[in-house]
Amino acid sequence: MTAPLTAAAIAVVAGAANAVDPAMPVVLDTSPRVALLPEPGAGFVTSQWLFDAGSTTDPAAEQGAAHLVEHLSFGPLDADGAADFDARLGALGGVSDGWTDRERAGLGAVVPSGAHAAEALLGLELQRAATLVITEDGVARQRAVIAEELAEAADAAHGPDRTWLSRLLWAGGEPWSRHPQSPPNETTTAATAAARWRALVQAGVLVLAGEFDAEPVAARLRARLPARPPPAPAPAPTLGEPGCEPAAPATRWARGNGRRGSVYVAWPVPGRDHRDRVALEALARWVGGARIAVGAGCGEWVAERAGAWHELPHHRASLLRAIGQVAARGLDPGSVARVRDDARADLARALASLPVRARVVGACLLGGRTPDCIDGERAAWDALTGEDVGRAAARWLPVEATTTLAVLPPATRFAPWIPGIRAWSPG
Amino acid sequence: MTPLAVLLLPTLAEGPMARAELSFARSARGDDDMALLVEAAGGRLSGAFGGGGLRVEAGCGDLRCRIVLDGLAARVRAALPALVEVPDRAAPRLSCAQRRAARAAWRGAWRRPDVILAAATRRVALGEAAPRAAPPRFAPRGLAARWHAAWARDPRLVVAGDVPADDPTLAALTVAADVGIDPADAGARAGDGGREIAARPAVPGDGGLSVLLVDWPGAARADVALLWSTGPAEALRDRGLAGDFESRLVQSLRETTALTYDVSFNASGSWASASWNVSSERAWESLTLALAETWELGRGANPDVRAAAWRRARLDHAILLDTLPGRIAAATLPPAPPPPTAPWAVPTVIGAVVVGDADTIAPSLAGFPVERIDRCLLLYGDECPPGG
Repeated sequence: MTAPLTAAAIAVVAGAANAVDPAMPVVLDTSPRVALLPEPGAGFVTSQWLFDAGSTTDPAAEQGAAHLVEHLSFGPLDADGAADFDARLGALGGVSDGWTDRERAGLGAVVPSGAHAAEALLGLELQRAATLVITEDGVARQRAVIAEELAEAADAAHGPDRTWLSRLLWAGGEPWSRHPQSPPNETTTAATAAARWRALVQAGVLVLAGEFDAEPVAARLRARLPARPPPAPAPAPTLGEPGCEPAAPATRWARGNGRRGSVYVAWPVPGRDHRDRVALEALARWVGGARIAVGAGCGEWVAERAGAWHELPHHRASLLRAIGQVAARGLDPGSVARVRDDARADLARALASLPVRARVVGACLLGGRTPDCIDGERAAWDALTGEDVGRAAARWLPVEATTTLAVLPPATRFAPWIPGIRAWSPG
Repeated sequence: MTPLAVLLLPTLAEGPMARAELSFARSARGDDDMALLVEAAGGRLSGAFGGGGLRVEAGCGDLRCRIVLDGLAARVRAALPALVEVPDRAAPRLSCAQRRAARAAWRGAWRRPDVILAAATRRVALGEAAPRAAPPRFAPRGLAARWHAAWARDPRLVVAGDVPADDPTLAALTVAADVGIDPADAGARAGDGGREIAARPAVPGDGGLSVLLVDWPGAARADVALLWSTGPAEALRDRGLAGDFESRLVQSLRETTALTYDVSFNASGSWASASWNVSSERAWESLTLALAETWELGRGANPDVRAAAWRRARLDHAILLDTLPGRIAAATLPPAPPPPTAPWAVPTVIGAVVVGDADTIAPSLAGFPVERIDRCLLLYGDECPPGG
């Protein structure tokens, strides 16, 4: 069902003069930018919006605005109170979803394939882009829904831990410490939310994928949407610059609401364009129970271990010891091959899902790259060596720069036996 | 060799990937410790073959227990012989750490809202109390016998992806048992062994609807669940009530009133449930709203609404076919429901569950017959340990 996404299979068509090959995904430089990924036999058509908007890009006075706008984007499409986007999509037999992370947001919709499914879905999406109605009542209601969403998450064991860790890791609490689904501020009004929606759509990318014929859809889009030159991507702050400024290393423990304790060992690391990013991801895979989250300019490398309070120091020490050894000697070739195969398999799993693949293509375009940027990812993994991993570990994950957070059950009285650890009340 | 029903799904274009699922059917209930053994068997396989592009998943769902190889096709094929030997090998031995973890999970269940809600809904739907005062003991001899008995219950191997039919392991299995699976028959088993449940009329205030109020002292939020009787023929109606974003409960409880963020839907053979998380003060309001939506379902669903629900159900099937796990699931699920022709019948509500601070919630539930029970009495038949 799925076709491999290779550079040769993707054409970037910049004008109406180019012929459209139905076997090739097509990117139209319209406003908004649209990418078409036809896939015969898919059984459905999906649309995926990607926006350069997340918790870190919200203005300081309007934290949570990106998440709020994501919620509002399923609202009514004209002022007479007729059916909203979701109701119209549901009538087509479709379903939708939305997400907001630290620097991006996205909206997805899927409808069953049919004679005019792609045109109907595209029409609905363009209508949403042009005529979405945001009212004060809608803003109030979605604020309440988001409050419920956050209350539900906070109720879960270890819900706030990651937010606490980010607050320790980043200077001044800004902007990386903002929870991706920040509580919506009280400043955003219907008018400001609507203005934000219009700006998002203009700078966003819409990917249409699935069972349809690209040529007529592309022709209709070119006729309907204005052409525009590709926008110059805004330079992202790099690690150490304002907006991406790590705090001093800290070692703290706090009481959480989990049944067991957890220890987080973390470092600020450079963003996704940095040449060490794949090496750092390889190290996270090798260590196990670790993750790397990167944005345009900076990110976090975090390892997590669970256990009783007296076990956490051992977990931390063994993690630091393992990373220190890699920093000193590099990673052996067998381990590099294993993590490389794991990464390949994960990539193949993700790209096997058409909606996810559409999202990946959108993310490539949004980042100012060509839609085949996933090929660059594969090439980076192929070129990775054990020395690369060792060099990255020594450069970015030195023991003295570690930030440690131990989160213990509510009734805990003892701090874990970690040198220099201090109690902390994140509030 | 244990005869396995083998289903080899045709290769599409998965590229380098493959997935193999070995599974058996769960007994009606009471085989929770089998899940531990399945996880241990999966761990054994993972230790021998995992990593480097192969993931081993193991566990039990409502209907079946599975051990899954998922990853690069070459690695899946290399591990396939070991996978098909699992039913014939001795039962995996649980390590001390696994036993400790299982006992800790049993002891800590009273702090887990999902476990409490599941126990409460089963109690309401099936009259299942079964508190266990003592933690699980894992007698090795009994477990080993039950392990082999479990693998005798409809064992299956389903393979999808880049594995050819003449793969030596598969060829040997086909000789052993060329039985195949009839997908139309595969999903017909009800989650509770087809046991019928007693459906009761539900009218608030006249003693018809009973609410099980599970007390969690001091909880700021509450989990609420509504249960109704159902069957395979009612799948579309259940979708219209709670099965997707356009359903009445999601629209009413989230989009119109903002009482909750999400409504979870779970169908389990002869009964179904919808559950949601709200602040304790609004638990009663959300429950009465949900009941109203349930009663309105039959009257409010016009042909267009029913047809849209049917199209969304078909879309679910198309999306499933997009991935290897989905294709395997789709091959063993019941066929998609036919287009709806008649209006939906109003669901027969079995009861409701509210898990939260009883002192806050109970006064607002005065209109309903309420059975109040402490969370630890529900789970253990005993009082909660101190320090909660």
